[in-house]
Amino acid sequence: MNLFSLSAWRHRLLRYYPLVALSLTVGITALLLVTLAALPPLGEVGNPSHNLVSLKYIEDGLGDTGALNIVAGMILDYRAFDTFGEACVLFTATCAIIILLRSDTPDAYDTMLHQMEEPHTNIILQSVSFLLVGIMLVFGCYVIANGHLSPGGGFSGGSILGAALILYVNSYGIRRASHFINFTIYRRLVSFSLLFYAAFKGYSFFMGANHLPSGIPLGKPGDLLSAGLILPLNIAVGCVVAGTVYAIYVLFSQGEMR
Amino acid sequence: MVENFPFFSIFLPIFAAIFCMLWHERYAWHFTLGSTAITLLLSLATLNYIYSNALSVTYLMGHFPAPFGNEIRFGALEAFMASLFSGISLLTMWGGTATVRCDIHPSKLRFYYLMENLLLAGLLAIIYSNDIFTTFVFIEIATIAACSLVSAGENGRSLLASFVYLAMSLLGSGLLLLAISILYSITGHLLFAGLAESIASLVATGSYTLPLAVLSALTIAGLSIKSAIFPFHGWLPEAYSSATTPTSALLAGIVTKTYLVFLLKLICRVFGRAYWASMLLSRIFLACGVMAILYGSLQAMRQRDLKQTLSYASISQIGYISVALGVGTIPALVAACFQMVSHALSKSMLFMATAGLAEASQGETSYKTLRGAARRNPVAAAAFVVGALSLVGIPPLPGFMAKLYLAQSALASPEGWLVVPVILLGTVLGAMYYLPALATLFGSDTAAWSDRESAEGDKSPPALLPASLGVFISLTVLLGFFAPQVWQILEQGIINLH
Amino acid sequence: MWLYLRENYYQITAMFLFGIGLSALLLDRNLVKKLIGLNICNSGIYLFLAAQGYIRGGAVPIVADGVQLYINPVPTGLILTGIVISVSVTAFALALVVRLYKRYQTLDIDELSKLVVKEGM
Repeated sequence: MNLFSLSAWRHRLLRYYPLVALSLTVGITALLLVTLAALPPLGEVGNPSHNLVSLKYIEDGLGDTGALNIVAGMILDYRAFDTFGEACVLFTATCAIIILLRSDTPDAYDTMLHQMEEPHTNIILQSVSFLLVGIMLVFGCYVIANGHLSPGGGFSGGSILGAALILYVNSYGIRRASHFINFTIYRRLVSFSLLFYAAFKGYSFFMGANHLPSGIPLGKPGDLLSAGLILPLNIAVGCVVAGTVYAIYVLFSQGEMR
Repeated sequence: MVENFPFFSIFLPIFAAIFCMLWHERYAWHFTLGSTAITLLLSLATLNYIYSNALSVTYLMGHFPAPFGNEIRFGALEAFMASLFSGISLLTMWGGTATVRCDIHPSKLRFYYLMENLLLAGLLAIIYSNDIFTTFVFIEIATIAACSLVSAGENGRSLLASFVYLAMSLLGSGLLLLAISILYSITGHLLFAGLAESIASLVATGSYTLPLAVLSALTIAGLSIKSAIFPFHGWLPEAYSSATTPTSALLAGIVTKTYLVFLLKLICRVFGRAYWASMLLSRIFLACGVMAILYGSLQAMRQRDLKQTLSYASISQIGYISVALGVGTIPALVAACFQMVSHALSKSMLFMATAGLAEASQGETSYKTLRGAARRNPVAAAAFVVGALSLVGIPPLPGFMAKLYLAQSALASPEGWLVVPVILLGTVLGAMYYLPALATLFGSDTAAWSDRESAEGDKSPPALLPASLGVFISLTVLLGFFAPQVWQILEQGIINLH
Repeated sequence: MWLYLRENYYQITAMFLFGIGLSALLLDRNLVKKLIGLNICNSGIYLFLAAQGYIRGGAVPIVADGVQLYINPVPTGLILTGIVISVSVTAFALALVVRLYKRYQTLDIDELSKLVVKEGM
């Protein structure tokens, strides 16, 4: 076989790549639209997806999990393994970004970023965030704590907390922020939260699989301290998400995390 | 009690990863080694228990049974694959210690081992899981961990290779998620047991045929992108060549195989073997496998760098697995599993041997610098020879047994006229690209190396790499001799998969 | 047919978003635009999944007195997981882009391939 012709053939084919890619995309979209016509229509009660599984979550959700928020009960009790995997995804992604972006010796590019980002006397930003950061932190804690009673939960509340920390870093600078959250504190916060989640949910999985009662009280529905493990898990997830959001922001903008 | 072991073996690497983050840097290696060794022991104990009792255990993750809560399920196949993957992970991590310390910056070393732990945890969860959405979440963990391991090399080439791998992998995950959504909208189940019942009833009544066909195509496309089956193999050569060699050994050995094990579980447990055999898709998958065998071998012959040759050889060997999956009968599926096992062992051994040879040749892997490397590092050369002979298909090594089983199962099926000649052709082509590599390694030593040897003798690395290569060689030879017993284990596993 | 379009426009839009994202991922040469395309792709899939949970006349799945019909809570939970995964992998991919830009000062994938090959010589 003529091996030279293989690479020349590839070069000729590469010229047609945009046309092939465009026709492939149009073809896939057309095929998906035709499939859509064969799928059940939107919003009908008799659809296959509204079967005994979702009925059980709705009817028995309050009794089994103790949470008024059925979705929170579902993701943190019935299908808690998925949510544990999701928390691990956050942890993995942050560690991957730390490998790539955290450098101990800043180079010229990082020093330039530093000088651009340090706020000097931005009085408007600092006065407004003086009021806002506290309110945002309290609101974030409220959303996390009420995750099992109303819409919210660890993920949304954690994002709000992370946003509050980002606002603080932007107004007051990384030097003041690193007084109360630096790399060591971040490391311990995220690791202990994930460890807490893994340990307690692992205990629940182990007890459930061996058909032993887990001994965690469900409390009265509607109370803040109810729904078994859901409130502590929401707090753990909230810490992981807040730490992740803050760490990603700081690593991208400052190029490091002291 | 033994039934809890898979649950421990998923959680233990995650705990080790968290400890790597918390504790001092010098303990990261110890945590990883310890957790991988304990996972290996737990998986072997599970395999022994399951195989001797011919069980298929369903383990609830929580207090609610399927289809309401999550569960994991394991039979002989899952336990065997878990033992194999943790064993290969242990050997590559252990043997690659010195190479990794050279290639990775010391401050990032703890995160490298953290990623290895998370990768192993993700792969074990994919193997054991009985729920399609949980598998998707852990596939994402494995993807991020694998791309991060590739990018840890910190040279420009590994960054670009990691980006291409990540982009293509995420496209595959997107297609998989779309397939899961369509599947949910026509069945309403996410656990394999419920899905199997619903799909069987849909196929029997003939409703939703187009969505079923489209979602199977999307699933196969997504998983093919992630396991580098022929048209979607573009990310593989660069990713394997630019990563540090122990990472390449890990990726080549276990990551691509896990997605194929997931595909196997979908074929047996969700779609059903009868439905899979009736689909045109299985024929297309077989054809892609045939083209992968030919294309991979042809490209491997043109390479002048050892890691590039091994990467294209990987594409060709994965082609055998997809041919076997395409045939779809029980003997063919068992042959596919056996080929997975044999390739995982041999390819990891080849990459670790490359690490040893490169260590003795200034850290480079091109054929020019590797001339005569066999004399400089005899253990690595012996491991390379054993691996190469196994993958070409010389009896009694496992590669030959895998091809024999594949040919036997294909002869009994209607596609035998295509598969058997392709296997023979692939064997011949395989010899043609391994021979130049072996000739280079055993070629004449250039004079400049002999005085360099004495200079590097004083800071010789610990004997971990030769020890791990020795274990690899003995495992490969044992697998070749005990092939019928391994066949029995895999066959019981596949029969109990439904 | 117009009735079908009016009733099911969520899913149809979701498929168009998937197609637009896929074309951006495959055709664009800038790395950041590829990632934007991937994000649009994922958004389309989440919109499709969200539409599967809707029941006409159903209330939000928070237990309250006097509510007869709730919507399906399962797709909502799945999308929650999916969005978090999408954010994490986009962040990781962008970190790779930042490192590539710092090293080669270009974001064009063809330029990058050439520069990487030249660096390896």
